[in-house]
Amino acid sequence: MLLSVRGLSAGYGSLMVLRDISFSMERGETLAVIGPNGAGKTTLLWSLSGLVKPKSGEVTFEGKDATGIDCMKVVRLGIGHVLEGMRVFSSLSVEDNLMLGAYGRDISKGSNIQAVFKYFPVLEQRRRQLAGSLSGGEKQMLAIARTLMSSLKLLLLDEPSAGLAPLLVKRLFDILKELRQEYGLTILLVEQNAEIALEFADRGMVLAQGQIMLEGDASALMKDKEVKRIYLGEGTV
Amino acid sequence: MGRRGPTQTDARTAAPAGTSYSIIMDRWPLFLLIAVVVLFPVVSSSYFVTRLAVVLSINAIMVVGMTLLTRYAGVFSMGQAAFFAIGAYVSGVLTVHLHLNPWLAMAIGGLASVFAAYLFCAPFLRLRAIMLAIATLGLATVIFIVAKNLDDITGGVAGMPDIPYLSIGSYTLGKDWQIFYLCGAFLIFFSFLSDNVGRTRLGRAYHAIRSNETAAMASGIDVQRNMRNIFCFAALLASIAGSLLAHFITFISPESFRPEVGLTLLIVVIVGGANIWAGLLTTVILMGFSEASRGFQDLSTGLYALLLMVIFFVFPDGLSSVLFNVASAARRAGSLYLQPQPLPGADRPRPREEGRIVEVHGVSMYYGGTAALSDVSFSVDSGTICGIIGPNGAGKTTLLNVINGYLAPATGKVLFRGRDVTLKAPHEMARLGVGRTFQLINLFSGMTVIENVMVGCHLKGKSGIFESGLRFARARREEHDIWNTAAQSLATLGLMGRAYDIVDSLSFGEQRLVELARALAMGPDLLFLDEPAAGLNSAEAKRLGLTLRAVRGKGVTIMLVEHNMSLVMSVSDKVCVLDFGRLIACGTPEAVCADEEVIKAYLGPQEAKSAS
Amino acid sequence: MREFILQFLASSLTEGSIYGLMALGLVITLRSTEVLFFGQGTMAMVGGVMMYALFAKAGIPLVISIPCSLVVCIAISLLSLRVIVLPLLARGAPSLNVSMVTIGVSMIFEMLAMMIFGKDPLAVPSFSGDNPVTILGASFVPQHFWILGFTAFFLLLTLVFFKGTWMGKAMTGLGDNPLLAKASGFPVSRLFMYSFVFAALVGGIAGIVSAPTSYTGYNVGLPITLKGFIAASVGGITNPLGALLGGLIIGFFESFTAGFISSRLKDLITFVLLLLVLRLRPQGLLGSGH
Repeated sequence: MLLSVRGLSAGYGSLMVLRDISFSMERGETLAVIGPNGAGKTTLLWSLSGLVKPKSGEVTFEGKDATGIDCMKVVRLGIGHVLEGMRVFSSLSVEDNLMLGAYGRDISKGSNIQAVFKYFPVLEQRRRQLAGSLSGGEKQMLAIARTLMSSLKLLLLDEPSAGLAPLLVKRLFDILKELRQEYGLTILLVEQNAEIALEFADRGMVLAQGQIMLEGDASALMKDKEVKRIYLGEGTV
Repeated sequence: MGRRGPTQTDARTAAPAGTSYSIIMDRWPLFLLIAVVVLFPVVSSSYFVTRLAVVLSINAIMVVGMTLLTRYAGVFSMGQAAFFAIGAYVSGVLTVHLHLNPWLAMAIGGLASVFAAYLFCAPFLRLRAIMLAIATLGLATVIFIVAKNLDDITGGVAGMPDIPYLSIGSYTLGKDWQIFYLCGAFLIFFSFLSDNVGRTRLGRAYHAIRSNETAAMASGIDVQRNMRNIFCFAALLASIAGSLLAHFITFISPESFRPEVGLTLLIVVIVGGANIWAGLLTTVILMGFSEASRGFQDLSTGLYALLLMVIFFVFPDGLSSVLFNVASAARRAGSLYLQPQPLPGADRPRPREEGRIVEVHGVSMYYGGTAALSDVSFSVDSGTICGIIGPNGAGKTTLLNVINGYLAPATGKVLFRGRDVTLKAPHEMARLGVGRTFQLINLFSGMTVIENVMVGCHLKGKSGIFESGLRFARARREEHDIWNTAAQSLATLGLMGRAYDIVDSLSFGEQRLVELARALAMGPDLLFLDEPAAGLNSAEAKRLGLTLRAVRGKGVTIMLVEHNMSLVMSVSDKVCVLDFGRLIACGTPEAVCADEEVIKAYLGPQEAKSAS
Repeated sequence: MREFILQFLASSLTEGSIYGLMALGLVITLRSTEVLFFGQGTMAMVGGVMMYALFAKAGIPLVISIPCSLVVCIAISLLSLRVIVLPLLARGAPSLNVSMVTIGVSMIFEMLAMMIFGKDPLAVPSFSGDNPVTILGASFVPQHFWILGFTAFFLLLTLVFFKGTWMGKAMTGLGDNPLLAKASGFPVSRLFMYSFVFAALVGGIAGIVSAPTSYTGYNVGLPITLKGFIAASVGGITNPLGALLGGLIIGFFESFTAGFISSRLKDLITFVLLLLVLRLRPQGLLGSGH
């Protein structure tokens, strides 16, 4: 078991967003977390990667306690967090952005950059351009590529499809499939687009109002009418 | 770097006029001040101490103005020395060179300062807080240099001697104790005035501006205008203080108006002045100490600095946070016995409006290269609830912000009751009858629940600084009406029991309701609600649905952005669906749920096929 | 006439360099921490008075006294960071408040300097003598070359650091997107520390090399911080190179005002320039809209 989460509760101020979340992930599997907005999906990722301190609960990574540790330690453990919103360092070049992806760990891992370019050729084309001048889809690729620069054990992906046209989304996920195959990545994927998430993942988890509503095999969930009910409200099936 | 200064202001504005409270209990600091001023020269006969007291009272007048400006409105001004100088030099020049009546000169000085303040505001008031602070320091430095160099007029570095005393009729105010009474009178007057302003509509508006400008605008507060007015008011007070100084020492030189003077006073205000009285007390303590112990004078700047740092660490809200808790408990006890009186005609159902209250035509909005909104057109009928739904990033909040006035669309028009309101600012929309709640809670931290709601009634009053300050009848009546309306609004939502609690202490669900109460207190015809059910559990969400229906029943039109589908589908008359900035469906809840495109947008193409 | 103009240009360069260095320090700390560090001028003051104590009074050679003075500057800067800035930021204090509190820091050190060194202006002898050198009709003293030399050095260092080292690039990234920097595992506190060390170095050097040309003393801190801030505002409050440029511009205007109009109005023109810039282009010439 790579990641184990028990009884995790987290929030901001008086607002408790996540209530008593428990799940686990095996090495090499992809778990999709879907659900309506405001359900706490992003908060889940933030509380795993050190941006928010959980109010209660336990997180174990590779058998060691990783509850509420700060971002630097998280990165050093091999957990990469791709934030929502195609975030990059706009004043730096694509290449610098990539190299800094390993800044938390070992900056000399320049050799990884060739591997990264293999999967994201457009980034190689634009390696010297300022990251701020890239298109939305390219920024998203850069944001993901950055995490691959140092040895990555767990990838936390926050709504990679948000704001991207459907064709770009498909291409992005195709690349992710290749990467997953090549590197045996374990991926925790947060998505609003349930279909594409469940199609990509092995298992799925539906989060609503801060709690896990449904859980199970991804293909089974895809057919489950309950999922639609949670998304579109009662009495609308 | 946009937030403004320390957080808490003395939240004592909520008791309505004419409570069962003894007026002395309520106003004891004022009476204490009057007593001190009246008795002081009687008690003290020391020449030195009297002179010190005059200097303190002159500084205190400046501090009073700065308290409203900095602690209430959040404007960090390091430049009050500029207006201090203008008042002093105008008084000096007009009385010495032109032999004008000193009172007239003081008035002209005041006018000149207000004018200078007004000119300064126009370009600089919209800067970020730290830039504004530096700009004020720049202003003070410029005035200082000008004073040093206009030798012919101001006497330059050598100063201007022989300034006459003020006199009332044939009675010359030349002795120290006479001048002290004069300055004391001004101090009492301005303290009274400022305290009243702080406790009423404008005081709440300043606090709102400092605490949350976005929400302040949505409540109808014209932020720029209010900040300008209070800045000019503070300038006026500094100017009068300067004139008084000129007629006291009868000699002025640029040294008294170094920019550091303004800096020192700012520190005094930050350290002690969340309300007027604490500011006065702090002035006396700090400045009295440094002036009295001349041997330590050189160390005083360092000590002030140390004090500033200690205060920021230990009491982030200044010393008065210690004093204020006592006062507010007493206030609560007194006011809870009052019940809101329904205003005559308030409950009359508004006439049923026909037709479309909002029309959106071809609105597009771009961020960088992407279209946040793409040719959106729809309309909302009066007295209905319209739900706006869509996946994350679809542009729902952007749409609200465009209609509400926070954003101007790249193309397209927004009509409100047939009038083009595309480019109107949020506070102007509020004036037209549009209310708004926000996705992230935008309440005014540090104020009580009822005060928050009373800000929603800001537009019910028109009194300016002097009217409110001097408690003219109209101002008192407005305050009473505002309290009543706010209390009604809270009672409707069942929050009256929490009215006097500081809003930060409420649970999340209760805070949401307070925001709703504030928007409703405005008596809007159109209400925008941005995710009002976020963070509520299903029981609370159901209750919210009932409340919304009741509000609609009163004739209010509601536009609702929500993710809680059961809520939206159960209360809306009409639902509009956005996806990638485009309006993909618009119709009854049933029609929209069955719409293929909608299902595809939320769940993906496969789901759409299996659903139909 | 030509000689006057050249002379003014020369003094623009030297004075502008000092302002530019101050501005550089301010911009570096501002970009990483979002706090306007009013202690920047204190660095210059401390550099100057330390040189007075070590070089002028105790006669310790430059090779030792300059580094020692810089060490003291760095110590004070880091002290301010660890004791004041970081704890306040950790408590969620808005950066405006923290900036105000750093005024307090500068005032305290001013008071300390006054207690130790007194209120009189302190004279520091020139590093390499006073024999003027004439270049293209303008007269320079050796100290000017020290000033220009160090400024050029720091200009180069800044370029190399920010464009050529990973730490520098990380600091740029930190200024761009603090959340991303944090989530990427950047050692944010350490980066803050380095920016404060850098600011201490440029501020300290500015004070050290300029002390012989005018005077130094307990109260030079705040005015020079303001000048530095104005230079940064003019040149680009988010851009280190803009800061240096801004310094030169301010130096230029001041020299020419002093030369052609009146030296008493020198400061006036600087502040009027500030007000103009804040009004017309708040982000500065080379700054990006923020």
